Amino acid sequence: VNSAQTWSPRRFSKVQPDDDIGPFFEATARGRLALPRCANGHWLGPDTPRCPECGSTDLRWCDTAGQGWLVSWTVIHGRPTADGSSRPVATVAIAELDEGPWITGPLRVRDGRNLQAGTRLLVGFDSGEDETIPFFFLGESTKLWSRSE
Amino acid sequence: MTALGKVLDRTPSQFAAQAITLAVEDAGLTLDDVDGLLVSEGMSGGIGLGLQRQLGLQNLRLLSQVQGFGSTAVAMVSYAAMAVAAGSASVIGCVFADAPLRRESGSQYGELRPLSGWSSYEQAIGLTGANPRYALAARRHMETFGTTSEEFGAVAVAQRAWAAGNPVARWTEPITIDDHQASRWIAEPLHLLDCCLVSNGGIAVLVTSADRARHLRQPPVYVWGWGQGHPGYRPGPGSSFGLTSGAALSGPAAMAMAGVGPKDVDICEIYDCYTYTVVISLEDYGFVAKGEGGPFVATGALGPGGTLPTNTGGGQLSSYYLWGMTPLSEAVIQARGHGGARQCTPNDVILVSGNGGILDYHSTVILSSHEPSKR
Repeated sequence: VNSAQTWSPRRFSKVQPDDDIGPFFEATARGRLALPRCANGHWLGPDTPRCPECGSTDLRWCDTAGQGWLVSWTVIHGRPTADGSSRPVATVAIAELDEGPWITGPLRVRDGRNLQAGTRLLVGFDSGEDETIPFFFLGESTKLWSRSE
Repeated sequence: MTALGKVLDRTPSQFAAQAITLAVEDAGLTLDDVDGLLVSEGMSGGIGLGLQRQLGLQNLRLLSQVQGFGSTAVAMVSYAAMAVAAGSASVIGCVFADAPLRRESGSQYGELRPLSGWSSYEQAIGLTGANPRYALAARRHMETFGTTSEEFGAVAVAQRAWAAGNPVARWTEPITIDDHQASRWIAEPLHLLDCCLVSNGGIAVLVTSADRARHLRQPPVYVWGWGQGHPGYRPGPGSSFGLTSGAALSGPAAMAMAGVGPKDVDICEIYDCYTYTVVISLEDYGFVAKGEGGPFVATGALGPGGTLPTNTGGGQLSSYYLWGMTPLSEAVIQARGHGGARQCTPNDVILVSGNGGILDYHSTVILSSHEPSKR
């Protein structure tokens, strides 16, 4: 995990952890991206109470390596200004972690237009005012994704 | 169908009561004939089982609130058809009403909501409402299949051309691909003209037996088949999120029940919350191969004079946005032959889709101006 990256993505509302995802934010607070893992070793998404692979409900939160690949992204714009144009307010990505699960997060990128799916993503953390949240930044390599999933 | 659009002086329950009343009058019935009621609330809530009391309906034999978001209206028709066939009720009102546009503060869509858990995190980083989530889906389609923003624009252009023939459409001025490209970004890759509008209003349909429908005031519309499909995308390797919708399941089921295939469909009324939704739905229904929806819509096939008339009233993009009642109501108008300047012929096989969540919930019905045996 590259914790040298610092950035404070814009936050639009407060993060309110509940019992289901409390451990996710306990992990981000110590600079780790954690996800539930079942007794048979399958990695699950953050709000998944049952392993879709094997049906196990015996889950433990484990630290991932905090690296993945860009699946999709959007540059979100704010309300129009007086001249009818709009300005970007956030870029959000879906990353496929090396462990498998997809995670959404803010994407630290200069220009959201010159990206492509399969770009390497690394994870950083922003402690902010309430919960520490993850963000993605671009790594070096790009994976060639199959067009026929 | 009540007054639709920026109608700010009515509540959802008033819209719903008015819609049911209008539907009953339209059919040449009275409210006393209605013995079943299915209620669908929208973004602003405000309607539910209490609609029975508000309408003064007594001794209903069937009453329920139905929730499948954008898939609800089309699914309600199938539930009502099953209930009529089973003898559970004889005349079932299916109603949707919503009033998300408010005088003081614009639309309720896109507002921040009090959330907890994972959804509070996603809202905090900017994933508010449907726009950015559909943007993520559309981007994945573009990255995987090479679909372009201009191809999405072709859907908006075709539907605006249809809207010109619809007296109740909100936007009727013709647009071009350049207009689409120049419209401001909402959530890239979606421009303003990729997104549906927001409307207030209420629409109701009545479902009854074919025998009874034949003796009512309006030409009957026959339900030939229905299906649902809810993908349950798993957010991980191999997920088809953004690439395949529930239409891949609901479409073949509905068409098999109706005894038709994509080649038999005369008119499509496709849930069009976004231009992209039309593209992916047409692929999943089998009108075109997976990944070729973009080039297909770019040929102009969907517009007036095209090979596959689609969203013939202008759809949610140009006319009015009442969730699944938008495609359903236009399908009824076309099946009755009441489309006026925009009437399509033939109108024997009309496919109607409902799509809810972020491609999570899907329903299809096949409607016709004829009984299946009289094609």
